[in-house]
Amino acid sequence: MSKIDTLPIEEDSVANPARSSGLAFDEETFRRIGYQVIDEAASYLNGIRERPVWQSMPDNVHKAIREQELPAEGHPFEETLAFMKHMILPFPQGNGHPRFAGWINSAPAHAGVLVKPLAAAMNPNCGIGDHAGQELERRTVQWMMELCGFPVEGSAGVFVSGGSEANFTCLQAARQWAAQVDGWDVRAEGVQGMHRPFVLYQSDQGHFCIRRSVEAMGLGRNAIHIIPSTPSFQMDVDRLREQILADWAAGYGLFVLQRPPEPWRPERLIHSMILLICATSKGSGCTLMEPMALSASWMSTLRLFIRA
Amino acid sequence: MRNGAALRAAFSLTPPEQDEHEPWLSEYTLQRTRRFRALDVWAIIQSAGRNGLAEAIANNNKMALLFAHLVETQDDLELISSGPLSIVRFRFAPPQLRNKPLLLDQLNKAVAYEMQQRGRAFLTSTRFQSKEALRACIVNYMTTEADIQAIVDETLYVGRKVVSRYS
Repeated sequence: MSKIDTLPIEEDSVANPARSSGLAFDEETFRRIGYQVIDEAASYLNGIRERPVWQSMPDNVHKAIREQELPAEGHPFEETLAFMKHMILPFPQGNGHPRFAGWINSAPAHAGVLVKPLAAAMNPNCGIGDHAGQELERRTVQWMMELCGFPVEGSAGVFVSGGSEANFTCLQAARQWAAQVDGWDVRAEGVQGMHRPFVLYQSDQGHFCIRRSVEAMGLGRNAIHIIPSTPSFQMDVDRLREQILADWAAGYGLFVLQRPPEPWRPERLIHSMILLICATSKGSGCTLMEPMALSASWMSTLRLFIRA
Repeated sequence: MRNGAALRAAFSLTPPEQDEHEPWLSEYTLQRTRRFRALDVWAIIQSAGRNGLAEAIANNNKMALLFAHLVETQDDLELISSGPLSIVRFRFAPPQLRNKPLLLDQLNKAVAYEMQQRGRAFLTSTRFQSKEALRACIVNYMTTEADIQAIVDETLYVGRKVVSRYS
């Protein structure tokens, strides 16, 4: 790394307030403890097969964690590390163990473990500013697009905390887009009943995070119309078609089109409604979602989902 | 999202025409303060490459196929559904109990609980098609054929143990 000229600081001449407050360690301590932390992580990962996949926390551990007092003064980091070693590390959720097949939480990849201290050392805000963190995210998002078969040009994405937040984020974008097509701005006006209601379609295998997102967006979960799935747990496209036509016939104001799609022309629908189709978690795997209103070709995307 | 402009439209604070620099990523999501999440993903893709990731996913699917196959070969297990992704739903359902749906529901809940307590393998139970089922979600890149066999063996062991307690 290049260095810039700075005023020399006589380390010993001034008491370092950060160090005495416990927010920084001197370099020797940082390295020494840092190596210990890496050793702990390596032993943890290396010994995973020898330990139980999961074990319940004994009462003394519950107590030790729950009854810690808020420290008025700082403690040496060695104590924090020892606490982790005895009270935290032995009691994982279980993901990471090769015989854990509980939930969809993945095992830690080693490269991801190793870059964490560096990310924390930089500790950037990847929402603002001109720095390598945001630049790397822009490129990594493009890699993800490439891996998923999405276009790299014109697409956009951000890393969020998990699948639920990802779906929530996409649904908000879909709603904004659909309102815009209908000639209004949902961010400005909200969903206060002044416009035709939104409808979403989801298979009966869809993940509950869609419902929670729809609730949080103020659309009400009744806005989700559930489409039955086939024996192989894929959305039944014929039933989807029937439901859309039935909703239309029932006077549901879900279409922005001025007239019903006659004959059945899905390519007209894409410009006229929020259509959300979820392949699923509960039934058959991961949640794959794309707000249909945003895709270029309704049917080709639908095929993508059916295949998934 | 395919349509990047639509994502920005949902969250942006700065209209695109007023851009003085490349839009910040907070223009595309609710959070203004965002962690450096891309670093892990980038580092993992760097280490594994597209082929490494594809291989890991393909191996999970292969392990799920093996799991389903092993379930089908056991009289005391009933395969409920599997594929194409790496999730297998099945039940501990000895032939003599298959006409007792309520008991089977209780039994499978107990099997998941007991297995978790024993710490040799970890499955969860789920309600699927009105039945209490066991669900194996295989997403660990380290899981081997021997692990799959061990999870199935453990299910049989725990299942039989629980049944003996009921009878």
